[in-house]
Amino acid sequence: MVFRECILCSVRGTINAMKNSMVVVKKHYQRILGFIRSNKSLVLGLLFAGVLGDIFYIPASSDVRFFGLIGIYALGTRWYRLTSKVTFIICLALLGVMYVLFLTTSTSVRTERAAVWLVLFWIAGVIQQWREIK
Amino acid sequence: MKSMHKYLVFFISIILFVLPFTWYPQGELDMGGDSARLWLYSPMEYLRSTSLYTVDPIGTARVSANQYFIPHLLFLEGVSRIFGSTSVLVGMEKGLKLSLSFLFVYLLVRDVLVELSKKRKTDVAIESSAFVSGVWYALSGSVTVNMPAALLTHNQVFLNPMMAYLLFRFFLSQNPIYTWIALFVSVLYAPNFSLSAPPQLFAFYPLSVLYIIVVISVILKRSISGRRMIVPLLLFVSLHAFHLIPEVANVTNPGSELYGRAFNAGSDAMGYFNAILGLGKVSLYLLLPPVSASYAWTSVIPVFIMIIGFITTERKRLLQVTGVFFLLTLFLVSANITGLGVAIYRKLFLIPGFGMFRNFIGQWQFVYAFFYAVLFGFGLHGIFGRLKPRTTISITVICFALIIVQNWQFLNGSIANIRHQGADVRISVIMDPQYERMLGLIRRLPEDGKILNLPFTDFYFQLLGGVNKGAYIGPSTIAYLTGRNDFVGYQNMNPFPELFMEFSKKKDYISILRLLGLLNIRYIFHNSDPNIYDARFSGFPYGYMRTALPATQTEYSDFISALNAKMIHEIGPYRLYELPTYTPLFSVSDSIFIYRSPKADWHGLDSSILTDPGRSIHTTYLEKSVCINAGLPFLSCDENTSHVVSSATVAYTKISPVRYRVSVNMKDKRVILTFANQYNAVWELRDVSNHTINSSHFPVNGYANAWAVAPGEYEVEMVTQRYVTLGFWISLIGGVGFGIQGMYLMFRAWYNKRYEK
Repeated sequence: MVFRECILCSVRGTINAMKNSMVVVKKHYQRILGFIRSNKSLVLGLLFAGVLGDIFYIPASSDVRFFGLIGIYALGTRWYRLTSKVTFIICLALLGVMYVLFLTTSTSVRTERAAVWLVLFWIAGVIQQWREIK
Repeated sequence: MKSMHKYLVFFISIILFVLPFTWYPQGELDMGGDSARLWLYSPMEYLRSTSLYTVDPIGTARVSANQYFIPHLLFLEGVSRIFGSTSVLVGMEKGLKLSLSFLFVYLLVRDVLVELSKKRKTDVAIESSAFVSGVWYALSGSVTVNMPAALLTHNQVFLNPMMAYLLFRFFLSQNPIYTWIALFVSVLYAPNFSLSAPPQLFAFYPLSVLYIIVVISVILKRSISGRRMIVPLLLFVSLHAFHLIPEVANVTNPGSELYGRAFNAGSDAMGYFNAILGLGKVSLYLLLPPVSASYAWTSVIPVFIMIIGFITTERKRLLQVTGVFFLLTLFLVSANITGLGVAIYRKLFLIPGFGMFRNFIGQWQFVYAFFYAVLFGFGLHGIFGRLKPRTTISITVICFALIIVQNWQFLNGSIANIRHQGADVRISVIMDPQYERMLGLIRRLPEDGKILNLPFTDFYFQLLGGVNKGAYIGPSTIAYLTGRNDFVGYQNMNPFPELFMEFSKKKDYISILRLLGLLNIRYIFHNSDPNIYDARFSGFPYGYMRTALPATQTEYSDFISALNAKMIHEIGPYRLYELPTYTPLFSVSDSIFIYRSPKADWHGLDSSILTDPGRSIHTTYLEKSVCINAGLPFLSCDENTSHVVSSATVAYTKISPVRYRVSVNMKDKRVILTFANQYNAVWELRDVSNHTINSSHFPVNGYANAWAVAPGEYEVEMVTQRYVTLGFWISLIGGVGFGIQGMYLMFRAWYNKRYEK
């Protein structure tokens, strides 16, 4: 009898502990989400820094980075209610980067990477604009 | 203001058309390059040698359907007769490209924007954006860089926007005058609508027609009547039947040139794509920098304007749709957009026929330039629409000036001073009158016998000096201007070029004669001009041949002497020799040698097969498996055996290049009759007495046609030529219908005008 009580107690305890941890995780998640939502400039800055880092510092090309970062940006456009105008401004910035790289290094790996980023953001911008005027 | 724009557009069109006439001195022709542009020298000679019959005038005379040339060459001949000179064709060819490419991009951009505008009227913003995009397109790399030594299909630079515009107008107005004009132009420029150049046809039209349909139905929200397209489509098929029917017949013929081109026989499309994948530069195609490096900084402007246009435009749907097509063609022309993009591109090659786009940069660049120009125009309008007219005009002037300045060298005629690769020799030439006389003599040579053209080149090119110190490098002038089959380079001599080189290196002249005999070569043409070989062209296009063939013109003369060739004509540096012995076009050999080859052809065979001194110079070589499959009961097909054939005589009459009457006389009951044109199942031998077709048709000598025949009278005919006749009659009927439609449209226009008054 005592043994059974003990088992029940420990099960209840585990469930409670899990509930508490869930609440903690949820709180953390909300806090992180809140942080992300309230720090638009920082997040977008980091994202753009990631793109620039990919162009300037990472020699090997990776689809995970391309689609990962553009995917995060796509989510960002929903969280922050970014318009396609912002995406096209990013395109202009990437065009500037690609242009300077083209003039200085011709069609180097970096120039090509910048060009691919520009195309990806351009596609994102067109899709976004299409949805905006639906 | 509106009329001022009209005058300006008219003025620029005229300037762009006239400008190329000032680039070349009188009589100079830019007619070299991969494609034989010798039609600029003599359209009618070119037509006679290439387009009337479905057989090539070069080398071993492959089956080839080139009827698409006919209306275009007749058009060029008409122009040259009106002006009394063929050099006018060089200016006209280039002038039309510049002028019409500008005009139709301008019209397309303008009309789309006008249709979208609230008042359906043009304004400064519309006119200016259309004008700048038109000028940009006309002077873009796709038009200008490809202009020297251009392929005939390069006319697509103006045909693409022209057809797109006419289709757009037709879909909008349903007025058949637009399709009538489009059909008329399509017949004049039939090479651009033939199946022999499928990439440019299938790269542009599916995408552009889809684009126009989307613009009209989604953006302009107008309905498109499919029924109205039936008559133009039927007229298109019937008008083009004269080349489409022979082409369809040839595309299903594995031995034809067209089959090889359409289905990439002998080439691995994916392998080719992978090999050139690194050349697909996304940044290069986004910026499209001008040729002049000092103006590379201006290359950012169009892309910048396009992106700004997406932000500022009031016609967002138009920019989005155009943007989608632009980005799609950017992907197709550059290929290197992410690893996933490359993987998808590779999968596209699994689609039957997509292999024609293996040279993706060359095939998609024209379509890309078209959408680039259109998007640039719409992007500009997005900006101009928000500016005051005066500011718009100022920016237009700046853009126009920039485009002119960055292309100044081109506009100034730098194209006429282009030099050959690795040699300080201009590509444009004035034909040497002495050479023209030699061509006349070659035309008058006896019918039988092909020509070996020396110095021998690495490709299929002939090198010919002009009196202006320029040089022509391109396909054989002898073949295309006289209709006499000649061997001018490595690629013409398939399957024997390596043997030819080996024998030459070893100075084994008997074997060379035996080899030339197999190819029905009777004459040697030697251009002994040192300017086309010795010093000025030490590399291209002779680099590989020099490793085995004579290194100087003097050595070439010795080489010909060693072959015991007799000089029969000499005009200046041009010499024509006749070989002491040769094998006629139709022959019955005095012996048959059975050899074995894994591929049942000549490739990879040991040279000893031809060097055996005991074998007659007129031996026919028959592959063992071919011998067995042909079912020749009078021959044993044992390997490495020779059969001596009793004396036989063959006489023939050439009715046309695709029809011969042959008479065979001999003691034996059956012998092998050899016809020294490239083997193809479409050659038929018919017994004249009972009209039965000889079914024992097989290849000999590694390339030639042969039949087992008994003594008698025969007719040899290429059956695909019948499709040319059939197509011609269909086109004639279609042409009559087309003419009647044209007259009706003219009458209707006149009547409506009168009625309105």
